[in-house]
Amino acid sequence: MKKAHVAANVCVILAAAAAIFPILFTVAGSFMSGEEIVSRYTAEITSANQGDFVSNGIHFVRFGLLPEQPTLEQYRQLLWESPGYLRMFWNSVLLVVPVLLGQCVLAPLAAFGLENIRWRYKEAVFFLYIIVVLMPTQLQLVPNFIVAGWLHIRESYLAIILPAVFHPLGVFLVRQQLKNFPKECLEAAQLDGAGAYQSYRYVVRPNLTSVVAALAVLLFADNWNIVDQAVVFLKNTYENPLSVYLGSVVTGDPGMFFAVSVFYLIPTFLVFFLGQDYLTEGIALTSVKA
Amino acid sequence: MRWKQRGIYWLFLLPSLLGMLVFYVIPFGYSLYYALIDNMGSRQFVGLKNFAGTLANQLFQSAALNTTVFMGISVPLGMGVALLLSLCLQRTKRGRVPATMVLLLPLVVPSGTMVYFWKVLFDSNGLVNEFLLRLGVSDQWVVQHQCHMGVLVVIFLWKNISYNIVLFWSGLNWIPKTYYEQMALEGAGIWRQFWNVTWIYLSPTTFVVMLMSIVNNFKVFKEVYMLYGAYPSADIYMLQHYMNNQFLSMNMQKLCSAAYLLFLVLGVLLLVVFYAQKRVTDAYQ
Repeated sequence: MKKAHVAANVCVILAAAAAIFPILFTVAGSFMSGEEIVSRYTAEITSANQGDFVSNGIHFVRFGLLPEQPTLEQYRQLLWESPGYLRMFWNSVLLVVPVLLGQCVLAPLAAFGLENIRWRYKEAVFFLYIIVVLMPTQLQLVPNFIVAGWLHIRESYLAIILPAVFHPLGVFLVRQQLKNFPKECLEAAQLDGAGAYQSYRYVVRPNLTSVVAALAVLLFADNWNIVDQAVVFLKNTYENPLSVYLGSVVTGDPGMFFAVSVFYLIPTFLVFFLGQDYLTEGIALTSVKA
Repeated sequence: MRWKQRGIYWLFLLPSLLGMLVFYVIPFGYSLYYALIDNMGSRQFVGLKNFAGTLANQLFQSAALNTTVFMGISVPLGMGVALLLSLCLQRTKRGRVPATMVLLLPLVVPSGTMVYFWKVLFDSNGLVNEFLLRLGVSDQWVVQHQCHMGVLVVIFLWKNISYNIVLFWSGLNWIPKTYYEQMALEGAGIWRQFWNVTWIYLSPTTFVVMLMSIVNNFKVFKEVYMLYGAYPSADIYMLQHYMNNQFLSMNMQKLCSAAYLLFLVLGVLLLVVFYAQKRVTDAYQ
């Protein structure tokens, strides 16, 4: 029994270490100078990296978490001399905020409406929502692409934002939660003379705060990491969100990569620390019926 | 009054429903038409010719094969490791909360921000190769045995495994503690407890995890794109890349026929898992 506990603890600690290590590595790298980063990780042998492991004339990485000369130089460059990165960061914000706002307003309303209408086919409608939720992004992109063509909004942010606002995940999650909502509360509100909107506004919506927060965290994690949609719809590099462009920074501007990444990670960490309980709740809700 | 009330519920639903129909359902239905015509100009109905063409396309075949291989490795592996970790989490007392938090972190981290780490680890001049060379493995062997697929599996699991852990975790918490106490009283060891209680009562959850794993598998495109760009080597050229190429070349016939094939296969796969789950769940209730 004791042994099993020790083994379990060791497993958990190892897994947690593996989970956080790449993040620590990235944060540590952001305090290195550009020259240090290049000399550490380049394949070329230079005067700065002699003494590292070399095979067949190729320099191997000098792995390490501690900067040789800690510096904030990369951050300074990023904030004051690199408008390109800031612009792409702003692009990411422009893509995420409307989606979050739209979903958090529309999804609970729609789920409440769907739960309360009396219509033979309402479960069929909900089934439609589930099918679309389960489609992989590339499949969802096909209808998105066709509609964007019809509306002449290809190559604009609207082609990404509008489908994301109406993505069925929100309605699906909130409805899962609403199924547990006691009908008696609604009936009581109606007896007291509350109309549909009033009972939504004062009885139902306050009880949905946590599921809407869960939705917001899930959507943020997804859309802040947007890649597929941007690759299909956006043609100009400067229009890309930073999540897409980071891949080219590694080869194009390796010295800046870590600082830019950490900069991009900051909102992620904020959302995560504020909403991590909601995150688990949201994930668990996606499975209730599936 | 009552009819007015009904109307309001419809009003609540309508914006979202219309948006969903307009941006997803209707055009997806419409894309079947694109899959059945010869080209966007003459729009001649050609039956299943596009489907046959897609199935015979070598790029499509290798993309489908790679996607299947990736799924075949990462779904069972991801489920196994996640189950093991959630069982371990259950046995830890102190530190469970911070541990879960740390495990969840990769899920929200944008794929792009971790690219350099994976490069340093897996590139030809990376840590893994250095380790192999220092062990005395020959240069040639290292060059010939680049395993992109393995790299992808590692990165994918790193990022997405906590999703499964959360699902298993909530499933484990549904199992009444008294079952274990009963088994322990009868002198059953951990293994018998696992097979006779955990495995059986967790099986509905297991199917849900499998379903979500299959769906989530397609998210690996982000990682491939970040590491290897739009044109990765042939051994990790996935269905997502095939589809993306059709988007870029605007070949609607190839795109839509491939989409419907994927939709059909995935649909059947998910339905099988779904019904298996339903049967197992019903059996225990």
